[in-house]
Amino acid sequence: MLRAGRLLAVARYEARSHMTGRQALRLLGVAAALLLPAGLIPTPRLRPPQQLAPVVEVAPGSEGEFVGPPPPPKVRVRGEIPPLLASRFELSERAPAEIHGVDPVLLSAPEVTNEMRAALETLDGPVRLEYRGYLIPGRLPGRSLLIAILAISLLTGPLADALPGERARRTLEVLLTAGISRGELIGGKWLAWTLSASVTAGVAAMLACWRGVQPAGWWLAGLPLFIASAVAFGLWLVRLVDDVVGGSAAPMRVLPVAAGSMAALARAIAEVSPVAAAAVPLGGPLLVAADLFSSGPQLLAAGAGTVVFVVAILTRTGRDLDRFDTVSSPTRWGALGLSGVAVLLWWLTVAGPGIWGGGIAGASSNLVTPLPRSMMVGGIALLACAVIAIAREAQRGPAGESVEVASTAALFVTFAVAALLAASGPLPVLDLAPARPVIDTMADRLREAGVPSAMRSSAATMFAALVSIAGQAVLFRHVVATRLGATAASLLWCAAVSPLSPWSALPASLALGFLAQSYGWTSALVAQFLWAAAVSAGDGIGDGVFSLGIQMIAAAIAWGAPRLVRGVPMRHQL
Amino acid sequence: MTTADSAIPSSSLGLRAPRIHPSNLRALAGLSFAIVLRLLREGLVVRALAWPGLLTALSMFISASITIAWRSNPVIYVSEPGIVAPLEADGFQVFLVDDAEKTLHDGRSERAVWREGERLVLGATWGGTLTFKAESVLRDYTRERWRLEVPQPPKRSRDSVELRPVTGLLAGVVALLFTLYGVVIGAGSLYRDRSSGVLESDLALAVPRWVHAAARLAALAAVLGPALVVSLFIVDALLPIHNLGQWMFSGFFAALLGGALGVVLMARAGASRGFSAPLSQALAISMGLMSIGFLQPQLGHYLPLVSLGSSFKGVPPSPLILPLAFVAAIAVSAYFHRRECV
Repeated sequence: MLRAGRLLAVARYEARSHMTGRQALRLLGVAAALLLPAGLIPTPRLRPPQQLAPVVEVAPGSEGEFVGPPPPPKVRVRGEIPPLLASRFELSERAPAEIHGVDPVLLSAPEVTNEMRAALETLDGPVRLEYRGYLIPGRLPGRSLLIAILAISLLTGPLADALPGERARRTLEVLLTAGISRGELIGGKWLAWTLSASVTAGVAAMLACWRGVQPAGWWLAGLPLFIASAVAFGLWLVRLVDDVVGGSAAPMRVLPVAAGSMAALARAIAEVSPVAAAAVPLGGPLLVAADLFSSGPQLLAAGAGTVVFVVAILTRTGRDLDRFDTVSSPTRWGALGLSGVAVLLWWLTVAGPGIWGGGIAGASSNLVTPLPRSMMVGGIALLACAVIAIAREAQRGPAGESVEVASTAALFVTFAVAALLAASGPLPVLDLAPARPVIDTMADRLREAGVPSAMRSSAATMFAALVSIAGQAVLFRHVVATRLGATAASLLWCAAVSPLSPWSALPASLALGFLAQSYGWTSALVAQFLWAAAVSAGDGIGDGVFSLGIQMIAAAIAWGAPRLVRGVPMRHQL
Repeated sequence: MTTADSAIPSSSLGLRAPRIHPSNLRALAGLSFAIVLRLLREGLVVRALAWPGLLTALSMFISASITIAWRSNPVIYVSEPGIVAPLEADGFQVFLVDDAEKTLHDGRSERAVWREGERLVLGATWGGTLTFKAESVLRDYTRERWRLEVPQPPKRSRDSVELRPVTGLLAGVVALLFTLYGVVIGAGSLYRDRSSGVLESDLALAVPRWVHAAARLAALAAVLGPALVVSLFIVDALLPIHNLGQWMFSGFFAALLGGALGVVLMARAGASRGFSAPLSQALAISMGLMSIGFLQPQLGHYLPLVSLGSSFKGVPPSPLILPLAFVAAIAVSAYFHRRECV
């Protein structure tokens, strides 16, 4: 239920709480400092043209001095210049292009410049092939895009104060018990910040039109549409946050990426249906505001899309006002998210440089980061994620599970598992189908970083391998295993080191996981390090499926040996 | 008289030199550790710290993948059946269409061939190696007056020095984001502690008051520093950054000073005023200082935070920013002491 009077009352309350006294002056000062230059300073290419060069009048009798434009400069080439082209080319040993022959003339060059082409086209004879360069289709966004983004960036603080600030001050409960509906509360807050940001952006836009920085157009209507969508989305982002730090970090982080992604989506849809593209939430209005979508139907679609989006998202936000944030707490889902980020960082650092391996015409070959360095950075990234998880919630493991460390049995089982894994050799390549060379290179780098087979080549490589294995052990065998379980941790490790064929690492991963479950993550670390050291010495005998079989024996021992030594736990006996 | 009372200033300025006692240092370490834990337990703060490195590296990887896949795609649209075979023989993926020129206009292809009267037309939006290879084939096919041969490109020793403008921009963006997060975390943590009553209970501890401000700065350094270093290492692992240490140095002090700016402006705003105005002010001032560094790099590279703007211009930060950052930290502690405790 929405009553206009109460909606406006909430908007007035929201505006008054931020826009009074010196605080209002400060906010206005910051807005003016950012938006006025954006509206007033013209883009260099839009400045008025310089005065034209004066026309030279030829005095009677001096026409002979004017014999046409000067000849174009000669193009430098190597080889032998045909006599017909002697006036257009000159020899230079350092030139990248080479020319030979007479009929036909042969040009050997990695790139044909316009000057070369113009010179060669002076040859006699009919033209049978014409080369035409085309501009890539598309328009550039106007200055209004900058105005829209700056207007939204000014809302970081107000959005953080609108809901997280109320929650932190415990005033949200008071507002919720007042005689207003959830819709009126959230709608009033949305209205206050949409209006203030639209007015500020509107002033900058008017100045831009007045100064001729950007001609007036439908983009003027796009600005409030985008701001309305962004404010609604920002309120939704912070709806469960009870802290201003998180409340200001979330819109700052997510809003630009979300708006950019939706704008890219709208651009892609515009290839099929320009009107449907304008209705894409956030993206459509942003492209209207940027003067990239400018037809009447597009404006109507953007307006309709914005209304639907704002109503839907504000309704959802209003419903969530009574809820507490359970998503970002350090629970299982939090651990899963952190593990996902850790695996992504591992892929980017270890496999990512492989993208340059098959780079553009091999030109970037020496930009590929050496694997030891990638392993070290990947290991550091995993350790950083593990430290964050431990700092957020120190957890000892599932209740009822005891970890036995530093016993003779623990050492014996650890060495037995390590010996079997060493016998299995490096992680086997059991991909279903060969991929492109670039992808194969990346997969090889991941496998190598998982079980470094060149760690004995130098002290630096040994250190990098140690950091890499330590990162894997602490994150997967300790942090993830104690929060999500040993099996989930083992599966995640497989995805990290062998994403194209996780089955080729699964038994080994389970072996290390069972070992960590029974004797602690340090035993898994020791076993994995010994495995890598043995592989590095070339001691492995396994290959392909045979290697997988040996890994399975290691997994069976890692699972069964501790149970044989300690006996079956009471809760599992009939 | 408590230890805290003994540290309360008595001079007319309300300030006097703080006592550095071992117990104060222990308190500083303890308070810093507590603030670090509180920050790290905040899921949104953790996500904010992971975001810059992850976002930069991921977008760079995706862009590189798309570019390599797109630019190395040997597709050509033709409306002349006779040239299909020679182009396919040279490795092109040829599509025969009625109106090849239209595929260029609607952005479907980078190169297309059609006939206009007696001549063939090769249209291209991108004159890369593949387009020149197509031209070479077509010149041979049409027995043109001049022919083209595209040699294999030599292996260029392109390195991070040559790519310094690109890698520097990437590193600078990461450092810039951390500076903005420093402002937000510095201002927000003080505001939060003040509104939740944690600040009052902190100030009731029997430690000199400057310790509280120093602990905030130390915690910011402990949280932002490693996160920035790891983020830059991640980007560097993907594409080597020229003078990585220089970016870490200027970025770390920019983030720290950004945090200090947030603390100062929030302390200045006092308890009665809201969060948005001091935060917007701190964000605008930090961006302004970096802009000054960008416009006046020779001056800016001596000053922390300003030096990040200078680094964008390729002027390395001066070692002087280390003592100057220390002086700034002392000034922040003294100012915090005056605003919150006198």
